[in-house]
Order: sequence, then C-alpha cells, then structure tokens
Amino acid sequence: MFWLLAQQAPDAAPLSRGYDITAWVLIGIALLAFALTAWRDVFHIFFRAKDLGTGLSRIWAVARTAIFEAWSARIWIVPLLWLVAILVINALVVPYDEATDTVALKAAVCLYGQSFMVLVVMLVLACFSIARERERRTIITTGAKPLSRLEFFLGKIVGFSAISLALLLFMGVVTYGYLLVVERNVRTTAAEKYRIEEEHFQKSQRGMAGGGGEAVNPPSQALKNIADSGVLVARNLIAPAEFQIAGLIQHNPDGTTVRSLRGGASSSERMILRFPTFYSHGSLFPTYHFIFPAYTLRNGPNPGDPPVFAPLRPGTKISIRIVISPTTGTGQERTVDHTLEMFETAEVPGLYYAQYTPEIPQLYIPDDHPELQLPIQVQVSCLTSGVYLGVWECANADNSNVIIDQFAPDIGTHGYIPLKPPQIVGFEKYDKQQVAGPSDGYEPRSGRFNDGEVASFRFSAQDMKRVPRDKDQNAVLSMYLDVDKTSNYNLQTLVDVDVYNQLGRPPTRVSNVAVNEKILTEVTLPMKDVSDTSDTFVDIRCAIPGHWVAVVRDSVRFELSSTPFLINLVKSELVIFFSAVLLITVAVVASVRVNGWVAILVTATAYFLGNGISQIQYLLTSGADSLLAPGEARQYQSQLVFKALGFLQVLAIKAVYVICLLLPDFRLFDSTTDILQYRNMPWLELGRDMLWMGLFAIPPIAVGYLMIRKQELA
Amino acid sequence: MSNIPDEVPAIGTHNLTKIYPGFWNAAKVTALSSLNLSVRRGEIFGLLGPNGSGKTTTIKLLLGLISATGGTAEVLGKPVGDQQTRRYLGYLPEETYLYRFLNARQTLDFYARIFNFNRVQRSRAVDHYLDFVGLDPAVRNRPLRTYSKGQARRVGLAQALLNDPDLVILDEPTSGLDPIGTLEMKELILQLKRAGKTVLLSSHQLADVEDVCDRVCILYRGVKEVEGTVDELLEVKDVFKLEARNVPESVQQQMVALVQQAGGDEIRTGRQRSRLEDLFKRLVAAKRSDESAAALSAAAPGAPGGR
Repeated sequence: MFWLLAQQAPDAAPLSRGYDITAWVLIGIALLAFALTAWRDVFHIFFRAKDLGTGLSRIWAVARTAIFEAWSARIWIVPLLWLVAILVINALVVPYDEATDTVALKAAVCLYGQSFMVLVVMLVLACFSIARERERRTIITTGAKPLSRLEFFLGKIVGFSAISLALLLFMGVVTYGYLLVVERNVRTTAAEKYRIEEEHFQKSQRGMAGGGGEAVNPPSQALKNIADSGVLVARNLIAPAEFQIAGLIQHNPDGTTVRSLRGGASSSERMILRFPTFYSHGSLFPTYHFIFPAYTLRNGPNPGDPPVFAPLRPGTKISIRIVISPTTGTGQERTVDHTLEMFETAEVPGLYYAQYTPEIPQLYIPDDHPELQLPIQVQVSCLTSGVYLGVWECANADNSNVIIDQFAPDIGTHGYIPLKPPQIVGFEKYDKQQVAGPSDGYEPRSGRFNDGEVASFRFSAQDMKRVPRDKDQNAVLSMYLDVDKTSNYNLQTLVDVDVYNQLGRPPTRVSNVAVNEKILTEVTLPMKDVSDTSDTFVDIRCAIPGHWVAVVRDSVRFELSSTPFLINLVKSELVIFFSAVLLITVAVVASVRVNGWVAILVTATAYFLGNGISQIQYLLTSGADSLLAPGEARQYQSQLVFKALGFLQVLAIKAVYVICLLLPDFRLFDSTTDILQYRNMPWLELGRDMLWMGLFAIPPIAVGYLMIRKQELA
Repeated sequence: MSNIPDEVPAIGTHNLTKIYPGFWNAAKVTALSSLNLSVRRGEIFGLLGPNGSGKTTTIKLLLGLISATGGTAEVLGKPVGDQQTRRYLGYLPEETYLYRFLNARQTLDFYARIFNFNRVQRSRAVDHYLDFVGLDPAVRNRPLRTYSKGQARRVGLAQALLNDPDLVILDEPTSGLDPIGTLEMKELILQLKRAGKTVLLSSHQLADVEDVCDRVCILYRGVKEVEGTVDELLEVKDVFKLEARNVPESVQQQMVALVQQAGGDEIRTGRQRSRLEDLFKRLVAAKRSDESAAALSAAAPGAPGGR
C-alpha cells in the first residue's frame, strides 16, 4: 500500500530504488517491532477487557483533558487573531480581476490563514503537552491508572485533533459568512457595471442608427453571469487525462498513436526527449543521430476527408533545429543550439538522417560521485515548411528518433556504453501550449484539410461514463481558451472540434466554433457514434490562419452540475484538518522523549522536510554544483580532505533524503487550488487525502509507542 | 473487587533491584537492592526509611512507572504493569501531581472515565469521594492551581480511592496536611483496613506508622534492614510497665520499694502525660462541637435570624 502511494506521489523522480528500499526497510522494522510489542495494547483498545471496557473510552478521557488544557491555554484567542489577520490582509490584497478573482482570492487567504494558525498553534500545544506532563509529573498519577501508554499517546493525538477540528469549524463558518458578504458586493458591482455598459452600448446603437456615433462592444456577458449567478460556485469538471499538441495526431484502433512534427516557421512544435542517466563517471563525447520519416500531407479524395500522407519530392532538403541541454543544474554551460541538414537514406526511401558531434565534452561526472543523475535533454523542431516528421514511440534504444553514441574514453578501451531509450517529454514551444492555425490562404469552407496544429485531449472511458448526454446523445463540451492573433486581426477566431474514440468510426466534427479570450465557450457535441466504453479523444484545431489558441490540460472539459460552494469549503477545511492531524502526530511523537522546545524544532524540521522532498531530490539528481562543484573541483580531487568532505556531504544529503521518505509527505494536502479555480474538490481526492493521513500517521505512532513503551515515567 | 484468592499476597517482590545508570560523569546509583517483600491481603504495611532509602522507588516499581533492573515483583498476583491489575490499585503520590487546569470534579471525572465508569457512576463517585475526603464544596469547581496544599492533597486522595481499590498505595499520605487532616487520614487508613483493603504506606512520620500499621519494613540505602509486626519490633522485653488511675501516694511508694526489693532497677515514676496530638484533637473537636451547636441554634425557628 505504501509503495503504491509512493508511486502516486507527485514529482516522483527517477532516483535509485535503493533509497525507497532503505526507507521501506526502516518503516518495516518499526512496524514489525510495533506489531510484536503493542499487539496487547492494540487489542485492548478495541476489545472489552474485564471491568475495564474498551480503550476507546480511555483514549477519549485523555483527549478531553487535552481539550481542557488547550482551553485553559486560551485557545479561543486563535480564531480572533486569525480574523483580524485575514481582514487586514484581504484589505491589502488587490485582485487582478475584481469580478472574477475577488472571492477566490479572499477565500484562499482565509484558508491559508487557517492552515497557518492551526498548524502553528497545534505544533506548540502538542509539543509541550507530554513534555509538561513529565515536568509536572502528572504522568505519574495518570500512569498508575489502567491506561496503556498507547492509549495515553493516542488520546493526546485525538484531543489535539479534536481541537483543531473545532477551530477549523469555527473559522470555516466565519469564512463562509465573510465570503457571502464579499460575493454580495461583487455581484452588486458587476450588476452596476453591466448596467452602465448596456446603457453605453444602447446609446451607441441609437447613435449609429442615426448615422453617427461610435461603435462600442456589447456589454460583457461575464458581468451579467456574475450578477445573476454569483461567483460562489464549485464547478465539477471532467478534465482530460492528458493532452498533446502536434502537427498531426492519429490515434489508431490498436491503441498506438502516430504523431507528426509540422515543419515551417509558423509551427509551434518541438519534440522534447530526455535521456535518463546512463553514464556513471568521466567525460562524455557523444554523437547524436537524428532519424525521422518525412512526408507531406495532401487533401483526401473527398472534401472533409482526413488528409493522406504523400512522399516528399526527391531531393527535398530538410532542416532541423536541435537544442541539447546536457547538464542541467550543475552550472556547466554546455548547451548546444544548432541547425542541421538532413538527407534521405539510400536504404529506406522517405527516411531522413543527420548526425551531430559537439566539439566539447557534453558531460563530466566526477569519479567519486557516480550517483549524480544528469539527464540530457534534446529538443528537435523542423524548419522546412510543408514537411512533417514522423515521431516514433521510444519503445527501445534503437526505435527512437534520436540516438546517442556514448563514447567515453575514460572508462575503458572500447569506451561505448549501452544505451537506454529516451523518454518523450512533450511537444511544446517555449512552454506555451499553443495551437497554431493553418497556413495562409486556408479557408474553413474550402474543403482543404486544415494543416495547422492540433491539440488532442484524451478523456478516460471511466470519466466519460459520468458525462451526461441528452436524449439525442449530445454532450456539452466546455472550452476556456486563450486567443492570440498574429494576422487577420479583424476575423473572429474559430476552432474545429473533432470527437472520436479508438473504435474506428470517423470523427464527428463541429466546425467553426467561435471562441473568445477567457470566455467560456460551450459546444454541443453529437456523441451518438462515440461510445463511452473506450477513451474518448477531442481534437481542437484553430481554423483561422494567423490565429492561435492557447490551451492547458483542462481548458477543454465537460462540466457537470456544480456543487454548493459550502460543501467545497468544508472539503478544503477537512484537507487542512488532515494535515493538522499528521503534524500533531509527529509533534506528540517528538515530545515523548525530549522537552517542548526541542520537540518543536524536531517537528518543524519534519514538516519542512515533508514539504521539501523535491528540493532534496533535486540536490541528489542534479549534483548541486554549490555542494559538489564537479567541474571546478577536479584539481582538488586527489586531496584526501576534499574527498572526505565530498563523501560526507553526499552522505548527509542521502541520509536527509531517506529521512524525508520516512516522514509524512505534507505536499499532498492541497486545500486551496480547487477553491482558487472555483472547482469542486472530488470526493475521491478528499478520500485519498484521508487515506494518506491515516497511512502516514501509522509509522510515527509506531515509533512513538516504541519510544514511550519502556520509558521511565518517574 | 478482583477475583484473586486471599492466599495470594497483595504484593510480593523477589530480589527486586533498581539501579539508575550513570551518564557521562554521573555515577550509577543503586536505589533498591534485592528487596524481598510480602504484603498480605487486608493488612496495613508500612514502608519506612530516611530520604533516599528506596521507598518511593519501590512504589514506582510496583506501579510499573519504572522498570526493574533485576528481580521480579507481583501485585495482586500479576506481574507489575499489568493494565487490568491497575484497575484494582489506588495510588496517592508523595506530592499531588494533578492537572492544575482542571477543577476537582473534572479531575475525578477524568480518572473515573479511565476506569470506564458510566455517566451515573461517575457522577455518584465524584460527589461521594469529594465528600469522603472532606473537600469544601465551595472550591470544587475551581481549578486546582488555586487550591491550598491540603485541598489538593484531598483531591489526590479522592482519585486514589475513586475505583474502590483492593490495594491502596499511599506515599507520604500526611504530607502537607494539618494535624486534623493527619488524624483524619489515619482514621481513613484504618477504615480502609476495616473494609478489607490492603494498604501500603510509606511515611517519614513514624508515629503515624506506629499508630496504623500492622507490619512495617525499614529500608536503608535500598536495603531492607528489618521487617515485622509493630508490636514485635517495638516490644522491650525486659521492661515492665504498669498504668493505674487514683493510686494514693503512699501505695505508690510501697510499690516502688517492692520493685526495688525484687531487684528491679532503672525505676521511673511520675504522672502520665497525654500526647500533644490528643490535646490538639480534643481542643479542635470541642471547638467544632460548639460551632455546630451555635449554627444549629441560629437556624432554629424563633432564633434571631432564623425562620
């Protein structure tokens, strides 16, 4: 189970399994020791002992005392401080768009404030509780009662968790009331703005009808929507599982996908491949080989048919641009940006080839730091108009469009190292996910195929079963697109929407859908021929030359009926609560053996490490030039002191990383993202967070029990 | 009541040893050395010794608060630390270690919950034992941090008796109590004995121990020096003692002469002195009796201020 969770954790890095194995072994030892020593205490929690009842009542007794303790520490001041803080902060924060962003922003501030206050206060209370029991020796009186140490320990966790829940409940109610007031103001303002815009527009229309006046835009429907429906919403979106952009994308019935890079200056595509670590030490003098099938596209036999592949004219010259970033993160500036000419191979017509050998070594890894993992990233784009380069799936090292010959003279006589296949990272242009329109001269109604780019969104079959359809099997697709124009400024941006799946039927197309910048566009898709038994694809093409539409993964989605905002707020509060419970657990464990201040230090460190595992991963995988300085430090390599220091540094980072793996991953508890996007947090996500909370809490509880089990209380 | 046969001793220790390990420059400390002890059911057993003799260490070992370095110990027939056995134990520590933020009722309610009392049982037990230890009702809802030492001690005693324990372990029970409180405590210990409870009493107040204990054990530097009944240990076999009231002076002289003739030496005569404790007890009892009578007459119909 833990292993499964680790696989789902965000930003999983391609690190050695050794770290995971070490962490799991340590956790396993702790859990085994816990199981062997605590089984009787665990049994007594759930099963009635003679004259004693179950341990649950005793746990609750300790929890009640923890609540009284918090109350006597004037815990009720916390919500008041929070209220003052959020009122001040919200008064200072200015949203980018008052109509749409105000409520989300203020809600996020309220939630951040709650999270901060609750975590800090619980940190202090939980860290000092057991420590104070030891100092004041109340633990002696309590320890003489029929209360197991596990029950005592869990009682503290339950008590402080109950306090944090009560605090969050109170602050949540206040937050909701506050947001109702804010939303009312937003709606009033939007209604007033709409009224003014409408008056202005009507006046302009009357003026133009009279032969004069100036044209103005019609009043914003967005304002009217806000005024009518408000912005306290929690939308339920069915977002695509993935999407990609290419010149042409074909999803075959066998599940494979054929992608093509479109050539030419107007193309936004570049293929990005990342070669994982394959090289252990010394210098690397690689040769890069580029192999692409190249073709062009022609109209299908009938208007509206999909395009067909056609061979290039003999002698066509193809230029590609390559950008190679070999040692990211180490400060070794060896990035190559180069243009290559490809030529057609004699053996296989239509297959084009080029090779490149940089003049300088691409990579240097010190002998004593073989653990460094320095991926090489290669980007390829085609510069020749009208040419499409076929992209191969990188099933193995030989079936890749880019291959590296790794000649490394340092490591032996032959100097060649076995290859590992690269991984295609994506198709994008300068981090903007833009879909370019067709070539100049394209006319949407011409019957010619749209040779622009396509963004292909894949919706999983499981999700598609939840998409409502009307009696004619139509479903409503929502698109929230950004629009950009480099020519044809006066034309409305239009997109073509194709929907299909892999069952072989031709796509159903909805043509010439008008889209506007940051306005939600709804398209009714005829889904009669699109079964929900397999993944469904929605392709978006821009139909106007010189126009672009920018997309992110959930720009295109199906919207279900919205959930009341209050429920979404409660879910966010629960996510904060889950993270608070985990922090309390760690704090109580930390305070078992040390005094309150040391426990705070330990818990805060655990919290930051639990949030910063990505940074530690980065140190391990990138080499951390400031720590290891592989390039500059070569001259000192033979010195024993340098070697010893380097060894200790690496050892420390590795140890910290293993510790991170042992700690709860606090990054998983995200309480604000959905609220900020007015999106409903799925129950599944909430359940997953709850599961994580439960599972992450078990190892610290086991460790805490082992520490307190034989502790001398007096 | 536990279902332990009467022949099983309430407490039994076999070579019980506790050594506190040294750390850095601190030396090892042997707090208890091979203690063999057997406390019978229903007796009051006194644990005596100067500071540092190992009395409190013995009690903490018996309660499972600390672990033994060597030897074994059993309480009510079970190894120490057994969760279920602690259901039948009551413990009053040498100082009152209670939650200062709770009031007396909340304190007892907390411990009653640990003993799995239901709501009605809790309510009854809390009131009963607070009355039993004589805690002023006016202070029962105030946090313990505002209590005098004696008041806190009474709450401590109430929590020790709350579960009607078979074995009551009292560590310096009269510490912090005024003479009346001390007398009441002694009376209460005797009451416990009458109710068939076993009491392990640790105290510096030798007179208190002498008054109530059936058997005592004297520890010195962690080693048991002597153990036995109070009468056995205190009996001076070669000294004869006679007490009588209203004996004429001349007869007294004759009796002294008779003893001298018989070879008796180190003869001491004089008037009997009562103990200061008895005097204090008589005075306070008389004063309280007067106060009660005055209060009754003030409340009587027809009296000034009465109904």
